[in-house]
Amino acid sequence: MTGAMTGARTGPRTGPGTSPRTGAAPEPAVTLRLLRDFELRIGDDTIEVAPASQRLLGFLALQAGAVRRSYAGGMLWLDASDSKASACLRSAIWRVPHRGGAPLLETSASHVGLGTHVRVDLYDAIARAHEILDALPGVLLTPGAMASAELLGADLLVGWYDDWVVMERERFRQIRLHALDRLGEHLLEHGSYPAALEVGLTAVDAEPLHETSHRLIVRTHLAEGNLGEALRQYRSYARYLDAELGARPSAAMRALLADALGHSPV
Amino acid sequence: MTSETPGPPPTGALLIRVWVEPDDTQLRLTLTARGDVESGEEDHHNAGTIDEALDYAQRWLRDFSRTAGAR
Repeated sequence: MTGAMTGARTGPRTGPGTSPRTGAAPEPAVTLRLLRDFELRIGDDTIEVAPASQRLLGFLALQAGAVRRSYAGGMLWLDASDSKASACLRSAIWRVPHRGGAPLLETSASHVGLGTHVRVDLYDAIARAHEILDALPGVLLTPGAMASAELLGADLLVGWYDDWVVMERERFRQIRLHALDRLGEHLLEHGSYPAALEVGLTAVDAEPLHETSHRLIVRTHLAEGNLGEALRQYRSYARYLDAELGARPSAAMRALLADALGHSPV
Repeated sequence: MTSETPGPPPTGALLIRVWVEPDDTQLRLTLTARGDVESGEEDHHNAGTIDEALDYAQRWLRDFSRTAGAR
């Protein structure tokens, strides 16, 4: 699938819109949340969306642009005949909320796509992750990037099992965990210990078996001079690893503590 | 008169994620299973070996086969 992860739609999308008509009131911002749960907001209001239309909006948000109606229908209603899928798609399009201003969907006789004014949290998260991953060594990240732990802490559309979601979720997961690792390193290097800890804990929450994140937490505690906390974190990780995999922390992890303690950690 | 359209077939999902940590050689596998993709709870399982992951997958598939057949 050529989805959002290709970067085709990861650039900035317009935020709160201003009407092109001079003097007209600004249109309310339309925000689609795909991280963790689905949510559609228009201005300050959360809008109820029928399940079929949620799937349509989610699917279109993961595409690189407008797609053929036949493709959307086929992907969303896999087990239906072409005519049935086409009817389901028409119904889902019709039921997408419309509260004045620009429509959420751009439709033609052959294609359907998400309106370019719709702001999608996933695109913001991917852009932030790339900003972190592409940063040159030694260059200070922007305040926005440094505060992106929360944005990178959630999976895409949790509990959705459609084929077109699962691989995108895994791809995004890979990017966000990598970005969290890199962000944590950056914060640690620049002495932002509380923020580095927050990033480390967010990453551990996302994947408790990911040693790099545990190591970041241990290194941060050591940098702060908190040997006891470092040891506590190490032991907690070691116990979890033993219980789940019957494995030990890596030699590099053990060496971190051994250097600080003067002997191997137990 | 209305015709009865059959619902979607019983569908479950089992996702196996596998990776190797830097400075380590052991596989880490996480298995996330859901017996019905439309509803129900996810089951999470971690495994440190291929055999352990395959055991879990086999058990889950057998359970799915038994319960889906009864639906």
